[in-house]
Amino acid sequence: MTSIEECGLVLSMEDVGSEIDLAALVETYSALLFRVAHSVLRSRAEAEDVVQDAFVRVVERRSSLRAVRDMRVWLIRITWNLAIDRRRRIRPEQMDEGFAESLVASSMPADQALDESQRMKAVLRELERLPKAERHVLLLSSLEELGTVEMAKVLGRSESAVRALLFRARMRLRERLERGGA
Amino acid sequence: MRKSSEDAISQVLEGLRDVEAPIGMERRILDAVLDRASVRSARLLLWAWCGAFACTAAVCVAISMIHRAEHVPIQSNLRAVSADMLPIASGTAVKSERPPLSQPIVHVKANVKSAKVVRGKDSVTLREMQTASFPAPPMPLTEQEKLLLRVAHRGDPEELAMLNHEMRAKQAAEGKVEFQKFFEPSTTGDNE
Repeated sequence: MTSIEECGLVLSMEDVGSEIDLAALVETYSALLFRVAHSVLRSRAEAEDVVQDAFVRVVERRSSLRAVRDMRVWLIRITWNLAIDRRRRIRPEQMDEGFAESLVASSMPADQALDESQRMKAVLRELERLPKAERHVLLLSSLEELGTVEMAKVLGRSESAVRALLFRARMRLRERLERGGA
Repeated sequence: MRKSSEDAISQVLEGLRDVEAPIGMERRILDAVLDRASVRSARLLLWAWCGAFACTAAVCVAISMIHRAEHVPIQSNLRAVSADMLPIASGTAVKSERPPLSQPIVHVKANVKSAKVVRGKDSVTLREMQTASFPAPPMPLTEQEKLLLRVAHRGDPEELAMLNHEMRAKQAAEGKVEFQKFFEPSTTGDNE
């Protein structure tokens, strides 16, 4: 088994010019990237695969890493795009079902847990029916680590646009849920 | 209702925020990245080897083709040269029957330009040799053959018998005897 330090050493030796410390990158950002991917995919296994792919991209593009100003935003954007690509290939309904059940407290009585799970599924279903820009902003806003500036950078929009989209997304989602009886 | 839906939204968003990365994910990611990097480098190495092998093979084929192209005329030239040597040794009478192929050989030795000419001529000869051969058209029959055919097809027994050498000789001998009988009996009769 290769240790994290060894991996970092190998990759930094492989590319001395750009001096990537992959182990440090993974240690620092993998949890955040996992949450980013999971917010789109709602599957732990798929999210982990996406994070792996993101770091593979880092290694592949190590020669151009010097040009990257904000590594954190750059990594989030890669992961975000990879997750959206993967989301097109999988069946989201199956993922949402599992995730909705995981949100319900295990201490609840069975009938109440079932109701709660249905309510969570309804929220996720309506969330998926939101316009794409609003949905993306809402999902990114769920990650508390990301501010409006970073969200704007990841999505390639202005800060004010992100704020407006976020407001509209919450309003629309609430309205639809109320209409649906959630 | 409004509070309920707002609560549900918040609960879902909190659930997304609070999700924790699986245990050992960092190690798995590093291993996977390392594996992929090694596979990629191995693939690159394999491609490099394949490319080198292909280049070597191409160079070998090219060299062998050039070598063959240079050797075929030389071999035919050698044959021509040996054919040249024979008439010179045997005498001038045979020399006149020599094929004209030997003349360009001198040019091959003389300079490269004429060597190309020889190679061209040799290639023409080679091509002619390699082309599929067809049977020669039938020769016209001679007068005797035509006569023979006519006799054979008519089927006259006397004429057919005449074709037999023994029969013809026997008939000639009988004719001779009859001739002699006609002219010679008077001499014996007169004597008796």
